[in-house]
Amino acid sequence: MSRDMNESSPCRRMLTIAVVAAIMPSFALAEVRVVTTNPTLADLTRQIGGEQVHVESLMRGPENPHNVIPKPSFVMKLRKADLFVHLGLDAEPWVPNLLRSARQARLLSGGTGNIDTSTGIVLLEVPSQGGLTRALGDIHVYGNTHYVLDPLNGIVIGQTIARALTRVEPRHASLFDERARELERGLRELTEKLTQAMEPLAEARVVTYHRTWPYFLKRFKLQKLDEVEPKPGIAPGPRHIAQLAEEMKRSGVGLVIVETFSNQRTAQRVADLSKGRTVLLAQEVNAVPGVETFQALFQYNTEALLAANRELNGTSTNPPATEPTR
Amino acid sequence: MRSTLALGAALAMSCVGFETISAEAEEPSVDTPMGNVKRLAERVEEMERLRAEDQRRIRELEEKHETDRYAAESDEASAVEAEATGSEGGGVSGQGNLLNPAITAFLDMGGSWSSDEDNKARNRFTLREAELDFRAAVSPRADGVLVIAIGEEIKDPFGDVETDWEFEVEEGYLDVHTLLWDLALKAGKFRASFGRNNLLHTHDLPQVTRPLAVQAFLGPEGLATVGASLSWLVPNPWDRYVELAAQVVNADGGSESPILIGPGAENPAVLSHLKLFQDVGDTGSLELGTSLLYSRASGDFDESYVLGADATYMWRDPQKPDFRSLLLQGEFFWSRSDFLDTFGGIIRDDNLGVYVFGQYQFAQNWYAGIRYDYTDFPNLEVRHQTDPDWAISSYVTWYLFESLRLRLEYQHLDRDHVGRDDTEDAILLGLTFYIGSHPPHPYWVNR
Repeated sequence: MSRDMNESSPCRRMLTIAVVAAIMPSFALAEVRVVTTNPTLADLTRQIGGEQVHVESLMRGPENPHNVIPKPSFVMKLRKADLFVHLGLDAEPWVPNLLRSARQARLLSGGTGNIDTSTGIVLLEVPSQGGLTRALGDIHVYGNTHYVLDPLNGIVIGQTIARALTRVEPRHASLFDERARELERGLRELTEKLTQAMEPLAEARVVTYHRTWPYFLKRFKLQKLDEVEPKPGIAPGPRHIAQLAEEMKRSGVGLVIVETFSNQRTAQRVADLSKGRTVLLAQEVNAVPGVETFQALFQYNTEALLAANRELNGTSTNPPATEPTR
Repeated sequence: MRSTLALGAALAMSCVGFETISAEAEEPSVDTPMGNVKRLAERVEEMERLRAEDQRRIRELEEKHETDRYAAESDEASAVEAEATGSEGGGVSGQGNLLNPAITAFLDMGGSWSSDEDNKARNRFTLREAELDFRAAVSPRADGVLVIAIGEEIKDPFGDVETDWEFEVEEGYLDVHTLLWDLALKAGKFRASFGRNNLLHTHDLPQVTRPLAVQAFLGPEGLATVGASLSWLVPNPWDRYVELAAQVVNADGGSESPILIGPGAENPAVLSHLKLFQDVGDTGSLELGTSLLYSRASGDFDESYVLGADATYMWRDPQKPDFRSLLLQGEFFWSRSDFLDTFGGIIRDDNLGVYVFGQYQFAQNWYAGIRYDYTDFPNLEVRHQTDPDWAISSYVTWYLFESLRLRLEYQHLDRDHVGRDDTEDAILLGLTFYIGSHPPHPYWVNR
């Protein structure tokens, strides 16, 4: 009997290998499954979670986060998710209905798997409660929702994600914490480097298409002259475009920042009329080709602005503000 | 004189002493002026480096302070709120309006310019519907929904014009959206899950009018009755979206629900819907559905059922997802009704209805489309006609703002009414807007 067993040991070894191979996927499945609304949050989750997480973004990079059509296939992704990471506030109005359709109690608002990354963020452009009206356009009632466009807000978001991952997978708590610290160190260095690089544009004024950029402008010491949209979410008419172009010429402002989901032709028209130049910036990771990480987004955006400025003014810099900003 | 000499000696000594101290303080080991300057420059450099380092630390601390202050303020606000709502009070009592439902009011108005001058419902402006929509959570897993509609009604379009306002609870239900085992439950009055168009409220329609087949088979405003609905996300090995809904509803819907009418309608009617969904490429999707509605009645209307099939294809331009999109949709209805004739035999009546439409978004806020309609009339009691209608419509929709939409539609309608054999050409206008809380967008809007 024992001889038989010895003789069959190669088979047993194979059997063992087969069993291990069969068990392996269950180890692979032990990773935390995270679904994020957008690719920026997906990248930050990857940086904190590393190989311990499997991350998927519902939205594609070039899309407008406010205008996503929630599809039943999103429901299928959410059903398997341990964590759902989203921007919170009223940034993604399609999310509440999607969560109701997913039928997973842990992902509902207030559930353990519902991670709102606006926690701890200092919001800009918070409207006064008394002044809330649609006459102001498609405004956000809690404040500007594009807070991921300040690199240092990435630190707060990273910490929020690390805490959430720790709750789900406490065994890797120190790893997530260390990665959050590493992210913080990296982002501080990057911000300092990019802020220095942006010195030629310090206090320069720009025009932005949509109200996407206040966090970015504040961090890199740029000022906003005006917006192409007369009110958020409202398309500009010819008169507004002409007036804006005139205002730009009068103020010596030539840069028109436009995001991928805005009307490029209208932005170009403003730039043509004002003898300025449009700059397509990435408002999201994967919004433009090559911007695949949170850090690359700021690298790309600052380089694009500096390049556009050089092109616009030869080697000279944009004139600093000489008139009060509207 | 002695005192003068003593003063001079003291001065001389103090000068010598000062020089000695200064020499010690500078650099005893370096004795050339150039060496001193070099040393000083190095020290200045070092101090500048330290200053830059300090500046960086101060900035970091400022950032951290800002974040901490925000968190502290939030905690403080929560504490104040908790205190205010606690039993001991803090000068504030009750919850005020804080837990009120989200309220949206929709207004849907229009007008028509038609070749049919006999129809008094045409060639006039109309406030088709004002709708009040209230929604709020009842519990963590359930929402309450109340939709009240007030619509203008012309009592006899071919007689004297007399308008009336019809007040209706269009929907009012409890939606337990997150039950166990991937189930969801609805109870109350709700729009029946039959096909795709029936789920839309009037203000959310992709065209000015509801498809003729939906009107003929499910009612002028579609089918919404009181009952209960259970839906299940069916697990499957392909990990695809498969949803099965079963609904039990009242059949005594009256003339508003043609297929369910009958003085002896027996409750309940049953309804089921199966929905399959598949992504097609990165930005396309295909949804297929089948529906079944079955009802029985006593008296001369024995039983009837409607079978439905629907297909919807949606596509967004991957490069300009907010500016270009395409929607193709069609629904098919087939019904069989059995009537008892005067000799006790059964008369069988089969009917068919279909609509298809295509819509293209050619700019951020502009949509254009075309729809074809064909329908029989399954309920002889209501329509008194046997021949089918068909129509073709083309339309342009313009979103001036997210909350305000204009639509212009041309419709050619061919009908064979008993005693009225005619065609109609009409220009239809639609103006729709909402005020209040931001509602979810209907599926055909690329937002």
